[in-house]
Amino acid sequence: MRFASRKLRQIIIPIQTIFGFKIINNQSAQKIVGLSTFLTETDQKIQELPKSYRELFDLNKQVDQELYVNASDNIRGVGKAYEAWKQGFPSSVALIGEKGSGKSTLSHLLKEEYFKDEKVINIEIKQSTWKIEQILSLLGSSFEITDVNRPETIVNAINARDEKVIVNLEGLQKLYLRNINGFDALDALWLIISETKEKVFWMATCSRYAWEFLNKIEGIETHFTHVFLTDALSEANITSVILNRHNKSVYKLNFEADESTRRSRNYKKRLNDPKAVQEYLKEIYFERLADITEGNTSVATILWLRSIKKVERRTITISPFQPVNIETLEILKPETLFTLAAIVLHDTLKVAELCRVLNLTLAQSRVLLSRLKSRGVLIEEESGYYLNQLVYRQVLRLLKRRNIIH
Amino acid sequence: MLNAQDTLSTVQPDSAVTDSSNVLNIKPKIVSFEELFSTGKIISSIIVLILAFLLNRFITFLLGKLAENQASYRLLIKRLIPFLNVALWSVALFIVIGGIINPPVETILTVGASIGIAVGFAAQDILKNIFGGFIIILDSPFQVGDKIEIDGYYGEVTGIGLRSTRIVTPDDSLVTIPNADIVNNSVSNSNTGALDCQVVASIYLPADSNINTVKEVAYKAAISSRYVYLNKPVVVITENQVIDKNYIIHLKVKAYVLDIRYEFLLKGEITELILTELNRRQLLPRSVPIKQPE
Repeated sequence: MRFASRKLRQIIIPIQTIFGFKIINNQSAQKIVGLSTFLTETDQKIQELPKSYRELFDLNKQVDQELYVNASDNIRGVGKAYEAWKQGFPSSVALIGEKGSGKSTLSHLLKEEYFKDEKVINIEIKQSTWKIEQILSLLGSSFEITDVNRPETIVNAINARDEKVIVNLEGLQKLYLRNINGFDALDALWLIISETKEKVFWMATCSRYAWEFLNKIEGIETHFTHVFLTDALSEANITSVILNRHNKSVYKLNFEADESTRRSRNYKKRLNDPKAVQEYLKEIYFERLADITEGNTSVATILWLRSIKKVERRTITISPFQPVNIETLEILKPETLFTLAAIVLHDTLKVAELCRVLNLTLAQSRVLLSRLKSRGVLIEEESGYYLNQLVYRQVLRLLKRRNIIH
Repeated sequence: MLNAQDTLSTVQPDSAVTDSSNVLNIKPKIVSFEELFSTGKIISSIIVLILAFLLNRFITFLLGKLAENQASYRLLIKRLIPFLNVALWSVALFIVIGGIINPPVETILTVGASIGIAVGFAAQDILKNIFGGFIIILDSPFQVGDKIEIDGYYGEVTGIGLRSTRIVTPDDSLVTIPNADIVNNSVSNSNTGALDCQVVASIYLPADSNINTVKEVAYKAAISSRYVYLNKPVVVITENQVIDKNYIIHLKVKAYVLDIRYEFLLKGEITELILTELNRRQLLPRSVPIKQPE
């Protein structure tokens, strides 16, 4: 009887969820709190891991060529564009990918491999720079130009130079604000890029959804001769990203099986051979990881670290992969979805910037952002609020399903 | 109260006398007519029809919930509802007529002809509406979830019934339109099944406005709105109009909304953004518009 009731519940609960009948009761409310805690305590949990292991997966640390998974042979592609520019063809390159997909890593490796003997000007845009004065001042200080009143003065100053230069411009997505007056900086930049292509090899990085938005409204890709994608990693690539790093450590892996896997015939028939069981569990884990990350390196890395259940002596135990279901986080109201979409389009946003993007008051923006922060969906740093990597893919899928981003 | 046999003998005495064998032939058919509508059959038929009604309501409710919970399939799911309603009622009627009452073909023809004549005179309009309902379902000039304009009413179609179609207007009024009226009138459909639909925001400006600046502001206002669907183009056009002997520029911003439910929010937001920006840049008129020469 109890078995039948449990079976019935197993069938009814998913149906209730599909039809939207699931009522938030005390148990569900506790689940939300548990999920929010899980999301917000990621940093703390990662800090508890052995330092040497943690450092191998440090996303802020530049990786060498040995650890970099060069999908689609982007390095060679950019190299060819650079060679063409050196021979007089006015090339410019855009590196496009989701947040955390390895755009900065790729540009760093390019500097090491192809541009090590060249003069490279690095311009990293860390905060929203959407006013024309801001971009002119930034370019002026980078090129050491004093007269930065108009884009034309910068163009003239660059073209008057004898030497050719490479500019590595990181973060095009921060050069606009989706507001009626938020595109002035980009308009100025396009003028400068188009007028200085012979003197400057422009290499810019941009997050995927900002790129697609800007492409639809003003055809951003016409400003670049070569476009490379960094977030098109396959399942094998994602497995390599994780295992290349892990194999540099001294730890052995032990994968745990979840309830459904334990019941499966494939699992049961391997039970006599522990090695085969581990291979099977590893295969299942990476299959699910690749599915949820869809080729995003840093999302895969965070999820991997979050899957570590315990570290004992020389063994790391990996718990079964369970992606976070954000539908239980009560974030489905339209204003919340539009806030998330705004953050996806800009990567990071501050309270005042969200006001301008969604035409809200300061108080409304603050409430929306802090509510999402308390749920663990957003993380706040000095540069602004950004999406928690643990729910990055789920949020994107949700917004696409709602026809908000494409 | 006279039973059928008495009625026959009182109404047709001459024929009964002249040809008594005919009466004997008719008698068993009249008895079967009585059996046809026995208390048990009537109760069974009513139970089947009530069950069909309840099942219909339940399926409509269930699909409605499913549609709201699965945003991307909302319109597709809602479109299934009228078809399922018709199918369910057809099955219920088939069970009642073919399974429970189970009349001979002659009876069906006789009753059908009688009902046809009676209803033809008394319930012409209802029949027109029912046929109209079938035509709407089969021809699909619009479907549930579409935004249509008919007979001066504009709104979202919430239900297509056999007798009438219901739409909800922007001011949240439920308008019930008889299907016959819909079939006989022209219907304008804004989105024809897609989640997005075109929205046109209008701004009227004096003829001496700086058209290029105003168009740029209008375009940026449209692409900045959170409700705009950018997979389709945003277009800004101008028209010259003369209103009350004044030259006027009619600025039209044509953009697509990402979900028809935000249609008026998009229109309102584009208008507000344009006017706010033009005011900030002091481009809105404070003078009297230019008059057309007499």
